[in-house]
Formats: sequence, structure tokens, C-alpha cells
Amino acid sequence: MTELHLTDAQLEGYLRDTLDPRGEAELEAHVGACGRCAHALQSAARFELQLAEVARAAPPPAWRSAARLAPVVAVAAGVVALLLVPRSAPRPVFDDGEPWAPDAPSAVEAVSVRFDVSDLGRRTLPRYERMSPAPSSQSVALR
Amino acid sequence: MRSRALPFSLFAGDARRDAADEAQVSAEEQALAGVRAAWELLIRRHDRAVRVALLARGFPLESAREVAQDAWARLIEQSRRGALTQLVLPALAIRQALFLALDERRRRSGMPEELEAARSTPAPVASAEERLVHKEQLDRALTVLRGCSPSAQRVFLLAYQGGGMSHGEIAAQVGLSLQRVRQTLCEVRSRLRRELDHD
Repeated sequence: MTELHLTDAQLEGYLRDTLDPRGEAELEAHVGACGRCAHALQSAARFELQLAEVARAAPPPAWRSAARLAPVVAVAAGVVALLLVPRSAPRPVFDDGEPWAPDAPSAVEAVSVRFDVSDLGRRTLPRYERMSPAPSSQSVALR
Repeated sequence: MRSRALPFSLFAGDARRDAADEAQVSAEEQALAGVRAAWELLIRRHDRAVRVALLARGFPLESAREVAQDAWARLIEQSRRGALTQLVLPALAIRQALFLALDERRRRSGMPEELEAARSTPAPVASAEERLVHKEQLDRALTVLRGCSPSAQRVFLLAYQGGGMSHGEIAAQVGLSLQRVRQTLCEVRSRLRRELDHD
């Protein structure tokens, strides 16, 4: 190292503290004996500070802004998707004409049947339980 | 209905950095409380930044190392005396080191303090022309940075914002190979070096 001059990578490695202890000791010994490399090290140090200043002045990158907005976008997309689901779309029905609960609104509807006051005191099972066990796929057809 | 987890892995890096910040605050609080291991950790973490600041101002390496050590010793002593209520690093250590370095330079030259201070201490406020040149240079550098690929920008900012990540940490964060991270950083640095007219 004493015959040759230090490379930019070596100088950067020293300034960013990424050299191993041996490489660091060799560099320090060389800089102590080589005026040109001592000057290069000072110049590289100034450059490192400039780069840090550029990084500080840089606006938040798009990837970081997008990452921070991801949950909001996801929730908004979910709401929009729910609103756009066509309520009048054909629903699958069983052979006896009973609608099957293929989506969330129907599921809510089915649950509401269980707690409907008209069902209180009835010993007969609510109609939706006639769906159990799950019907075979062949028995389900689009209306 | 089964719920699916959102891709919050996008925030993994931020979470790691937040945790690191919390750990740093904790180390600084422990150092103020007189914990020796905390001081050793903080010195290991920030000593290079102090040396770089001294080198950048034209102090030779050997002198920078000695002054940095003195600065840390002064801070520890001030902490023991209860003179420090807050430890903002590396800024405080750099300020202490620059004060010591300028004081040492003044004593060696044998000049009266006021005269030497006027000669060697940089003007606290840059002239309007200097500020304009500096701003133009910074704007050009930012334009160059914006001209880099998003991936390269990300690598650069991870390397230089805040405390700055190591190449290995950046590689893990952005999902690139270590070699690719080094190559990318080298390319961005080269482009910025040309713009900053650095010798």
C-alpha cells in the first residue's frame, strides 16, 4: 500500500467505517506517510459531507410516500370494491328455490334470520339451516 | 370470511429504523446516567463521523484521531459533572471536536486568540454570493439524483440519510445483492462527484 496510492473505494471505506481493522491500520499508516493520499482523504471527507447534505435536501422519495399511503389506498380500494358490487346480479339458488348466500350482504341477511323476533320460541329450525350440509356443486345453478 | 394480511412488509425497514432510533436514544440516556458500556457503544457508532468532520475541514488524520478522542473524553467528563442534560450525537461530539481543534491550532500558532480566531475560523454566516453558489450546486446535485433510477435513489438515500446504513443493511432492505448495491452507489457517487466539481 505504501508504494501505491489509495483508491476511492479504500478512502470511502475508511470514511464510512467499513474497512476491517487491518485495512484501516494500513490506510492510516499510508496516509501518515503520503501527502497526496492525506489530501485525497480530506477531499473525500468533504465529498462525503456534501453527499450527506444532498441526501438531507432530497425530497421524500416516491417509494417511501407510496409505502406510507399503502394502508389508506388498500382500505379505499376495498370500500370502492364493495360499493361497486352489483346487488342485482344473479344469485345461485338451491333446487327448492332458496337463495344461497354467496356474498357478504347475503351472509348478513342469513344471520339476521336467526335473530329475527319471529323465530323466537319456534321449535322448528330457521329456513337457512336447511342448507346444511353443504349442497353439492351440481345442485347449485344460476337463476 | 377470512381476512388477509395487508403487505405491511413495506414498512419493515421503517420499523427497523424506528427500533434502532429507540435503541440509540436509550444508549444516550444510559450514557448520561454514566453507563460506561453505553459510552463505548456511542463512540463506536459516531467516532468516524467526528473524524470525517475534522478531515473535511483540513485537519490531518493523526490530529483528527487525537482531537476526536479528546472530544469524547470531554463529553464524558461533562456528563459526570452533570453539565450535560441532553446528548445529541454526533452533532455534539463534532462541535466539541471542532472547538478543541481550533483551540489547539490557535495555541500552536501562538497568535492572540482574537486574531487567530478571525483568521482561521470560518465566517459563521456565509455571504449572499456564497449561499447562492451553494444553493445552485445543491440544486444541480438534486437534479442529478432525480435523474437516477428509483432503485438507485433509494440505495443512495439509505446510505446517506440519517446515520446511513451499511452496504449489507441496504442490500437486505432493498432486496439487491451486496455487489449490486456497491455498484449502484459507485455510479451515483460518480455522477454526483462530476456535478459537485469535486477534485
